[in-house]
Amino acid sequence: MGRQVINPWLLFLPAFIIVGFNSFIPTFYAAYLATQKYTLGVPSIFIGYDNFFHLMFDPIFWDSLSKGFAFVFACLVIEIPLGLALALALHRDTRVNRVIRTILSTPLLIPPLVVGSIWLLMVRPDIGPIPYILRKLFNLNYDIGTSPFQAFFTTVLMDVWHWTPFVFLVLVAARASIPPEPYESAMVDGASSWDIFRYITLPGMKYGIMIAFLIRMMDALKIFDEVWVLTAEGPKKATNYLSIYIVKTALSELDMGYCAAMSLFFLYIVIIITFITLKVMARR
Amino acid sequence: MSGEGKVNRRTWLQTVAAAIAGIAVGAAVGWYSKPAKVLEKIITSTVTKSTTVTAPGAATTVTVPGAATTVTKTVTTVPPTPAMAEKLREWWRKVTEPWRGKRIKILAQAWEPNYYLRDVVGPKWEKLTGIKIDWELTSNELVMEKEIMDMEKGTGIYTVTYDDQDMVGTWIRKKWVIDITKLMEERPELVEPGFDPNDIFCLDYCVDPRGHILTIPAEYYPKTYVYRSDLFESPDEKKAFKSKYGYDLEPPRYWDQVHDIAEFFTRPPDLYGWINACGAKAHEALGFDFFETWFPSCGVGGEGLSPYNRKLLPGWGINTETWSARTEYGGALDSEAAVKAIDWFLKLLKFAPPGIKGWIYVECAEQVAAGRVTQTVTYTQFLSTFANPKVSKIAGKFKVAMPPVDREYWTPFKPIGYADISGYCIPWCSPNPELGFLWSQFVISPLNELDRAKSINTTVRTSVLMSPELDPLNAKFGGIFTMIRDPIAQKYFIGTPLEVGDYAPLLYVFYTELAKAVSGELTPKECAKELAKEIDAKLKELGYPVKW
Repeated sequence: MGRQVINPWLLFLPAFIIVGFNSFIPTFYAAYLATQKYTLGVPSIFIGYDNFFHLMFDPIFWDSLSKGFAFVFACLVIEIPLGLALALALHRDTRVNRVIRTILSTPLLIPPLVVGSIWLLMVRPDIGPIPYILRKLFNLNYDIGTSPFQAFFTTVLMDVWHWTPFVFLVLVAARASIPPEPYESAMVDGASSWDIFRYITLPGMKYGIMIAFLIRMMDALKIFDEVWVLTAEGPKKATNYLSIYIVKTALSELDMGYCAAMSLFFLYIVIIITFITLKVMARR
Repeated sequence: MSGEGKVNRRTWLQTVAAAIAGIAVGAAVGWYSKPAKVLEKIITSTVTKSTTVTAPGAATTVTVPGAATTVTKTVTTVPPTPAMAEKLREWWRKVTEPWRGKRIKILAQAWEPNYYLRDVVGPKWEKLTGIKIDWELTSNELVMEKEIMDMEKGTGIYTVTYDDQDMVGTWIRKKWVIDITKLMEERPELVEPGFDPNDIFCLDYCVDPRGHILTIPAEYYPKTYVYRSDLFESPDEKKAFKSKYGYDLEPPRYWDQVHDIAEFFTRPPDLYGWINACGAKAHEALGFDFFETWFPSCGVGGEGLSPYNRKLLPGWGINTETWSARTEYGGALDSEAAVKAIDWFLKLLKFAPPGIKGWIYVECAEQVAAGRVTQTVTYTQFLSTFANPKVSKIAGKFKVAMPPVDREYWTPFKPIGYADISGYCIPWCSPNPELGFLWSQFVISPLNELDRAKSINTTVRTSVLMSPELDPLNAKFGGIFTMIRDPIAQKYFIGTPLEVGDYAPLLYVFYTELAKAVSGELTPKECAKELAKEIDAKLKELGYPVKW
């Protein structure tokens, strides 16, 4: 009897140890650091919640956070509908669709730093194809070093290019999970394409969409590597998203206590948003 | 007559052949024996007189190594003869014998000079000593962060780290690296016979106030003016320039002349009149371009050319008595000179290729190499790229000159610009300081130094800098060796002031404030004022003894 009780816990132990080392210990250490005035190289001092207090009145923090949300919103507004459209167009298991799906998934295989470098070359005003085409066709000067909007827009475009395939793959799987019978019945009843989409496809894919939405939202909020390579904080801090600001504070100011406070606050915001999103989407 | 002629011709040919053979043999013998005589002294003679290292301006003179030791005295001559080189190699084999089979870990910035060390010098070291190297090459920011964390926590990950000289002030303030002078005194048997501190011409910026060595330099790259000599020397261009501006087209002395030249040569989309070293991206590079080039060349701070005991730090505009950058407390970052420097920077940006605001030093150097730019003030690390016809369109078409200055605010005996002096330091927690010290010496050993200079146009040793073997390369690299062989010119290129004990956090303030001027959020005057204010706040936060 005793063995039967102990065994499940023993099986659980390796995972617990790994997660403990990778997640809990760093999080607790961050919580400890957040209560310290700790600049690298200077002995740390306990300051209680001062870092959080400072954060509340740090205009750059709030500016970075709001820019991060704008970025997430812009990305999701494009990626989810685009991924859905592609999934619906290419979900049938034909040879052509398989080839197209493989090609479309290619960006997912590229590491974020390389994606940043690719886009850096694509939008270089001197040799980049995008500024060249825009100049030739619309006489438009495209320079992410000068224009805050273009810098922001380019990071969105890069994210859409990189991560729409992920949304697409999740939604293809979701679409494939809907059995054919409801469609057959609807067609026999003479339902229009829109009705079929609205009353069968969309409800059937709801959880797939929710998962894609949540994962992309969390990922987009944390975006760092690509933007770091492409624009860093950008002109007029246009792309100074929170993760960029946190890393800059760590690497340049070496202010580890404040970084930890920002990171924890960021984590808290992500948890709250995820919780609300889950509740809202599960209700509908 | 013909018979006589034949005999005469044969005799003549024999004579010429004998003469050539004689010259060849004589030259070979001479080449082999003469240096060997000098170099033999390196190996055999023991210390009979002390070697001194003095920090100019510092109160003390320090003797290394101690007179009581039996370390050999160096009279460096490069390149070593084969016999001499073999003796040196033998010394290396013997001295590293106790560590054969061990590993060392090196943390360094990922760029050309270190790629050369990793790919060329490192394998030589491994073959010679049997000690393997684990390289960790990463960005400059990460090098700083990693080594600071390592040293602060005492984890002892790195045997030796490769830093910009910018960090020496930090090491002085924090006392986190091993005093190499002391190590040399304690372990004289580890001092390479070819190692001579007196031969290292840029050592002044790598020592503490007592003159003790904290970093053994391995690179010396001044930031010089580089221009397209093919354009500057074109008769048509010269004539057109003179008729437009009323003076001759030649390397400029002042920023207003740079402006004229930039305006004259801006012919988009193929040719632009100017590019600065570090671009104008909101990046750390923007900060160091200012305190390395723009502020010193416009006379911000700086009194004299000594690395120590300056009331007002050149380029940084910080008063070391009040620890303030504001003019009202003796600083200079919001001075008229600083405003002028920012103004020059912004004015000249108009003549740079589009995209400059998204670039840092690498992209700027690419533009120069692509032949799209007429003039720049840049790091001479890039000269080997410019001179390489495989990757450069300006190979053989560029020259270097002293950087320009502001006509109004710069005065003689103020530094003009910056010398990038990087080198090796040994963390206090290094798992093997002896090996760290040996590697640091090996990099600039006579076994390697001349080849290194030829390949990546840098040396830290006077004996190599003055070597006639570099003469053929001088033209290839735009005359850089001629320029820095001049000891006075050398003095005008300074390292980061050693009083700057917190380089990274101060750099952050510099570039974030200057980025606001680049993006048009602040005027040059507003930017200078805010920069000085923010630097003061940061100095106070970092615990400097501020008096304001």
